[in-house]
Order: sequence, then C-alpha cells, then structure tokens
Amino acid sequence: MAVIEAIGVSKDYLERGQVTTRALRGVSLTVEGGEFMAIAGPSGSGKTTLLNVIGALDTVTSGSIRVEGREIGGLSQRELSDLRRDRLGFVFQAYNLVPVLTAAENAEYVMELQGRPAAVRRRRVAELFEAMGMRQLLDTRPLKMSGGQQQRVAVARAIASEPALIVADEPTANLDQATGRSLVELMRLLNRQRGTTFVLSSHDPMVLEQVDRVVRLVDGTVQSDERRATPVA
Amino acid sequence: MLLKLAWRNIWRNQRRTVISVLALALGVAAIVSLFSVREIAYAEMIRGITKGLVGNVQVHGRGYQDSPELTTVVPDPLAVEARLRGALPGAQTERRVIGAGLASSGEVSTAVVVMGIEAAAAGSQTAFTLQEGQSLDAAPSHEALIGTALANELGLSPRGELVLVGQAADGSLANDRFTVAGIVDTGSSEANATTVFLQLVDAQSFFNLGQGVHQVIVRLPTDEEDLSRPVSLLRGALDLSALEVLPWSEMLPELKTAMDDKRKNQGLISVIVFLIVALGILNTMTMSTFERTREFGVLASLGTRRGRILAMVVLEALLQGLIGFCAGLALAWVLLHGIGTANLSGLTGGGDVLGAPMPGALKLVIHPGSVVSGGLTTILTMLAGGLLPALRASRMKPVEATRYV
Amino acid sequence: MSTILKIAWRSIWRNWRRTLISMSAVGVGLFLVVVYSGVLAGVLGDAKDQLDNVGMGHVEITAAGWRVRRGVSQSISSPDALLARLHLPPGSETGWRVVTRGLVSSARGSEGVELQGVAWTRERGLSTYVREVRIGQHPSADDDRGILIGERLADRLKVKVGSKVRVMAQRADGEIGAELYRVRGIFHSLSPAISRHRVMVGETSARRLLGIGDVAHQIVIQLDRAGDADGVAARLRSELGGGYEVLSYGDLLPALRNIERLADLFVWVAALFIYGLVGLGILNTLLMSVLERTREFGVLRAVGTRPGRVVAQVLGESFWIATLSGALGLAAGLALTWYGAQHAILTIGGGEALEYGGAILRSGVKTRFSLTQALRATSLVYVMALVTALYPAWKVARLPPARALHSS
Repeated sequence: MAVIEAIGVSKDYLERGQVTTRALRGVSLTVEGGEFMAIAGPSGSGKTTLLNVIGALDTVTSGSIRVEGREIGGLSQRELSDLRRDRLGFVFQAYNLVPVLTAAENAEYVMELQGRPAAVRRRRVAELFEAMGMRQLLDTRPLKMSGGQQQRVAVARAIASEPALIVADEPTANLDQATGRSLVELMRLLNRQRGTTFVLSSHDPMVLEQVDRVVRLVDGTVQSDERRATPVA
Repeated sequence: MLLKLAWRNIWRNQRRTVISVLALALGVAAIVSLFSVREIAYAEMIRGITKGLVGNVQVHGRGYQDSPELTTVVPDPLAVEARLRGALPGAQTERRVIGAGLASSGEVSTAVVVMGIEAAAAGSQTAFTLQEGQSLDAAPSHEALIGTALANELGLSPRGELVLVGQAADGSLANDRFTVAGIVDTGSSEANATTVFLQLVDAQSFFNLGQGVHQVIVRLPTDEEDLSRPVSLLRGALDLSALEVLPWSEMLPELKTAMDDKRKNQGLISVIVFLIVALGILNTMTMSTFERTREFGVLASLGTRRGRILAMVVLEALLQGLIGFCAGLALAWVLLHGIGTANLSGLTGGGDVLGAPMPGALKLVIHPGSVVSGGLTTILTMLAGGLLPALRASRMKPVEATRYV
Repeated sequence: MSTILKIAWRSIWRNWRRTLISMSAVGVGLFLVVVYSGVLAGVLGDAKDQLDNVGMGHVEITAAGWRVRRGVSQSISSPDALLARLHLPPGSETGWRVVTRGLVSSARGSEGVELQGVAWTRERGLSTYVREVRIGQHPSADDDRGILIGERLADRLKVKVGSKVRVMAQRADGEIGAELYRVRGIFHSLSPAISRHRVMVGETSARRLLGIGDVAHQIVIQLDRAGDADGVAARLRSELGGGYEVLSYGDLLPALRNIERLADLFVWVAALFIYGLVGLGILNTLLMSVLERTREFGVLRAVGTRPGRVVAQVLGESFWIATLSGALGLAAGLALTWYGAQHAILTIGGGEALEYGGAILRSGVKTRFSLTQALRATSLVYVMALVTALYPAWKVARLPPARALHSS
C-alpha cells in the first residue's frame, strides 16, 4: 500500500484577500513505503504547498489525498491532528524546536502526546541521541545549539514517535554545505535502517544528489518524476 | 509536561512577566489589606456590642423595640429566663429595667437613662468596667453606678448623693435619693454620659413596675455575626404573642446595614483591580502568543490538539496569577504587620458610630476571608485576560509553522 | 514638535487592538478617580450644610466650664449686647440659645431631652429642621406655651400637634421646675439623636421655666466660609478673654474635621493606587511596542536622528494614548458624577443618615462635582503616561544604531 496517494490535487490561495493564486494544478503523486525522495523546483513552484497538503498541514481546493489508504479530505481538525501525531513526522526549515525545552524534552514531545510512559520516552530518546552521536546535547536548550544541531534534534523528534512518513521542508536551507550534507546523510541512514519514508523539498542540488527519486515542480505542475537507476548507498 | 512548558514560557520575557505580576500583586495586596482591616474592625465592634450593654440577643415584651414604653414589660421574667437557658445551654441571661429620668446633684441636673441591672450579674459584668469605688451590692440598698462623663458633669464621686426624678409606670412622679457606689466606663461615650445603673429591685420600685422588666439580655459564648440559629431556637421556646426576640443586628439595624453597605462598597475595589489588571494581562498575553505564532504552528503540526494548547496558555495566565497572588499576600502581610496595631477611635474623635463604640486598638492580621476574596479576584482576572489569547493560540493553523521563514 | 506628534499619532494605530486595550485601561482609571473624588466630596457635603442640619455653629461661644457641667447658672449675660460687640466677617449668621437638660413626659412615657430656648426668627436661619418644620409649625414669637419637638420623640411619647406635654428641668435656684406645653410643630432631622432628644421653646418661656434673666448658654455663629472657622474662633478668644470658651466646629466635631482632612488623602491614595495599576499595565504594552520597532528606530538613528528626538517620539505616543483615553475617561467620569449628583448612586448605611462621631453623613450619597479635582486627576494621568514611557524610550534611544539595526 502506498504511504501517500495524491490524485489531481489543486490548491488555491487568496493573496491579501484579493487575488487568487493557484499554487498547485492537478498534481498527482504516489509515494511508496520506504522511499527516500525529494520534491524539487524553484521558489514559487509550489513545493512547500505540496508538502503541506501531503503532510495534512493544509487542505486541498480540489482533488484527493490518501495517507496509508485513508482519505484525509473529510477528516475533522481533531482527526487530522491525531493523524499528524501518530503517522507523520516533520522537520521544518527553521524554528523547529520549542525554545524553552531541552533537546531531550523536544525529542520526547510527540511521544508524550501519544501517551507513552516517561521511562519509555526517556529510553528511546537516549538511544536515538546515542546512535546519532548527540548524547552531549540531551540537556541543552536550542539557543545554545548550532543550526545543524537543532536540525538533527528535529530529526530525532520526528523519528522518535515512529511515524510512517517524515516530511522535511527545505531542511538544509539555513545550513552551510558541509552541515547540510551530513544532515541529509543522517536522514538517509535512518531511512535505510528503519524503512521510514522520507519526502524532502529542496532546490539545493547537493540534496537532490542524495535522494533516490526527484519530482520536479514548475508553476504548480509536475514537470518530471525521475528515479535513480541505482539507489545511493 | 504542560505545567513545565507553561512555567518556562512565562519566564521567556522576564521583564514582562515581572511587571504583570507586580500589577496583580499590588491589587491583591490592596484587596487583602482593606478587607482584613475592615473585618477586624467589625469583629471588634460586634464584640463591643455583644459583650457590652446590648448583648447577643434580647427578649422584650412584644412591641418594645418599635415603641419602648415604660409599661411594655416582659411578663414573668424568671420563667422566661429559665426557658431561655433551657433552649440554649451555655447562654447567660440578665434582666434589666430601663427608664428615663432627671438626675441632679447640687445645682446641676441632666437627663439620664436609668438602668436597673441584676447586682449578682454586676459582679461578673462585662458591660462596663469599674473605674472608682465599688460595684453594686447584691441586696437592694439605694446605690447607683454612674458613667464617667456623667460623674464629671454632675461633679459626683463615690459616696456622693444623687437625686433621681422621673415618671413611674402609673403616671405618678418618681422621686428618690441614691448613693453613688462607683463610677464606671461602659465603652460607649454616649452611654458614659447618660447612664445611671441601679439595682434591679430598686429600679423596679422606683418606676413602680412590680416584677416586670423591659429587657432580658442573652449572652452567648459565640462571636458569630450570624445569629439566626440561636434566635430561631429561642423564638421556638417562647410565647411570641407576648414576647419578641431580637438579635443585636435587629436592635441596631442602621449599624448592620452600614456594615453590609461598606462590605459591598469595598467589593468595588475588587472589581476595579479586576478590570484594570485584566486589561493589562490581555495585552501582554496577546503579545506573547503573537510572538509565538510559528511555535504554535509547529506544535499543531506535531499533532498537539487544540485543547492542549488552550490549556497551556491558560495555565501561563494562571501561573502568573499564582505568583502575583502570593506576592500580594506577602506585601499585605508586611503592610499589616508593619503597622501592627491600628487605633481607629481617632477617626471619630472618640465618639460612637451609629450607637456602637468605635474600636480602639486593633491587632492587624490577614483575615482568612480576605485571602479567599483576593484569590477569587485573581483567578477571574487572569482568566478574563488570558482566555482570548489562549483561544487565538489554540486556533493557529499548522500551516503557520511553514510561513514567514 | 508637530511632526513628532503627527508621527506619534499614526504610530499608535499600527497595532490598533493593542492601543485600544491600553486606552481602555487608562480611561477606566481616570473614570474611577474622578468618580471616587466626587463620591468623597458628596459624603463630606458642604460643612455648612452639615452644621445647618444640626443647628451647630462654625464657632460657638459658651461660658467657661459650661460644656462639661451644663449648670443653669453657668451662663453668658446679655447675649444680645455681647453679639453686637463682636467683630465678625460679613455674611455671618448669629443667634443665642438658652440650653439645659430636662425631662419631657406625656401620658404615655417620658424621655430625657435637651431643652433649647430660642428666638425663632434667628433660629430659622441657623437650623434646617426649624426652617422646614414638616408637621405644624414652630411656635410664634409671643407663644409662651408652645413647644417644637422632633419626630422620633413625638413617636416615643405618642403625641401629635395639639397634645400636651410636661417639661421638667432644674431651675437656677435648685428647685425642679415643671410646666405644661402644647406641641405646635413636629420637626424632622437627619440626626436621629436630635429628632429624639431635642425640644425647643421660645426663649422667654425657657427663661421663665428656669428662673433666669437676660442670659443665654450658647452663642452660635455660622460663617460664610467654613475655612474661616478656626481663625475667627482664635480672634474671638482673644477679644473675649477668660470666662468664655470659644470653640470652632472642628473642635466640637473632631470626626468631621478628621474626615475633611482625610478625604483629600484618600483621593490621593486611591489615585496613586489606580494609576499605579494602570501604569504597570501600559508599561508592558509600551515596552513591547517600542522594542518591536528597535530596527526601525535604528534606521532613524543611522540617518542622523538625535536620541532626544527618538525619546520625544515615544513620549509623543504615550501622550496621545493619555489624551484620547483621558478625554473619554473624564467625560464618562463627569457624566456619572453629574448623574450621581441628582440621584444617589451609593449607600453607606441604612436609614436616612449616618451618625458618625456627632457628624451627620447622608446615607444616600450624592456625588459632588469639582472641576479642580477632575482637572487634577487628568493631569496626573499625563504624568503617569509620560513617566511610564520614559523607561521604554530610554531603552531604545540609547542603543548604538548598529546594535539596533541588527535586532530581528
């Protein structure tokens, strides 16, 4: 079963209450479980919008979106909220973390929403941080971390709640090349090890080099959908 | 987690939180202090009344309160007393006669209130304190006790002679001489200037009353302001066709109304604090949630339900309220203990208020009722100020997380 | 200056919700202070009003020692002549009275009273309750047997106009004098004590009852301005010398004097408290609104604006908030005070009036409007607004432009 099925999705925006912009025009896309892919395109191409509707952060104007076979179009706010909690993970370009919580507490956040007991949460996070080489950051607050570290903690949070799909919107946009590269490598490693599906959006060629599949968007439509012949290790 | 988040959030902008909390503390301190001083003063005034000449409850002949005529007496007072004590074990009762007269000594005369009191009770009397001389004898001996100001006016001291003239119950002229046994302080400046205390039997014969008395004073071992229970017990035990039973609040209705009115008026202060501080909190919390728009968006994206975000922001308001409330209490405590003892009698220049003596030295402490009042105001204020911003925060869409990057 | 004010005006509307909330707080604060001072002024009433209600003088003269012992012979001889001699400010109303304690009885009961023998025409000028007798009328000048009594006494003794009462008092020769009088009128007084314990007869009649000659016990002087009382009393004291006691109403009613003194203090404390709360409230708002624009101010400084002008800018914004909300709060406060002057908006006790250490306070409080108080309250609002704005203004103005430009 496909993790995501987008069929004929269109999304309109009301710009300043006057002008309607069509950000997505009849986009169709299927994402299978375990994929490590990116949506590419110049700014204004609609890639953020597409990521938003796939991640149930926003609703579509027309068309349908299915997450793990389930149509999300008619779901209530609460149902969508629970869906995001249980089945999805998010890494944003910046400001991912709650500034007043430590790295560990940030990473535990979604598990706490899910009602997992404290001991379990703590253990999982400790293991994750250890595996990602971030043990020293456990009790650090975001303000004391570099951009790259913050993004890694965001990834840890996304993984910790064991979602089916992690959506990352321009995760490396605010990082330098080297840091960005190692971040994407981390995500790919997690994808290989755990089979978690990743959908990134980026216009950075460095990122696109590292994914298995690139869907290019131009002016809200899919221009191309290419799979790499041999997957990156 | 929620509590932890809320607590840490309020300290993100220390200055802002401190200022908000300070405003609330100021308001709470004012409410608590004023409330406490007022209630302590009232309790003291009531004590003065109930331990003084009025007592907790009085029994009269029917109609006496509205029309206090010499001929309206309590029939069979000893039986009434017995029934009273049966209905309320622990109560003490006294019989009293009241009449008007003219008192003179030498060339000076003045109108007085003549009170016949039980001499046995006079010994353990709380209604007045003996300043000079001795108290009344148990056996009727034509002795009198007079108030300090009266003694001054008539130029009398113990063993001096007092002439009393008045109108007796049968309309005839009442005329007799008495020896001043002692000089007393009743606590009320008015009573000190106008009262002559005689032995009950002497008063009864002076006014030709036989066994009749005008008042049966009931003193209860309680300091409660609300006497509805004992009063209904007593009313049940007596024949209301011939008698009336009145608590002090019905005997001094103007005082009771004045006290209640003042309580209501001071309630206005709570409203003022509420209004002004709530407006301030509304502003600060609106700002603080607006600043965190993206953050709320992220939390919503992660699957946090609306209710939880609402709860978190409301909790932020309530936590600030808690801090402000405690600070306000501390401030009030410092103020009250700093002043220590207040003497309010200066406010009336030593006079009475509506028939009750203005209390003298009051020991100032925080009255428990004031804590409740301050706490309620705090909760209402913080909720009023914080609810709207909380609602707005909870409604923030997940999409906000990706905007303005 | 006008540019600063113009920019300040536009600035406050950038976040109109925030500005409106701040203005509400300030407006409410001013409204409360104005109303409170109106209420206090109302409770106090005009001192002359007070005294009229109880027939008291701003200055009273008695024979030395009379106040304590009230002896019939402790009197002032030839009161008319004495009054003529005194130097009093223009507009003063004067009178004298024969005063003693006595007993009044009817068929149904008796009550101790203060008996006053007066000259009726003068007494009308001194006491409201004599001027406006409710039932019947006060005895005429040549009515030797007429008596004026209070409502409560009439109630107690169960008498009405036309009833007979007996008055007993001690004469100058030591005997007890007793005479019969007929009730000609029943007066109403705000003071329950007076209503119950004061009776009045003509002065000739009183003198005959007590066996005294051309003497009086009280000389009463009501002045045009209450404030003159202490001064006039002091002057008369030196004019008359020993043998007389001259007291001002402040000496006679320390409670009233205390309230008068305290009233001003109360308004100050209330204003400080209310404005303190309001000030703290808008301090946060101002801080936020200014700090949000740090970068903007940084740009202004970078292009050459002096720090003083930036401060003036912030103060200007506070000025407008104070002006707008001040106007609204003042208008609302005055409206309520005006309404309250016609209809009592507050009660401080049951019954018609409250007896407070001898002074009479009406229970239904009607506010009194004072322009000076209102203006004072308003100017304090400006002071508060400008003082509150100083801290945020200083914070943003002293940053070096480079730092300001780099704030996000």
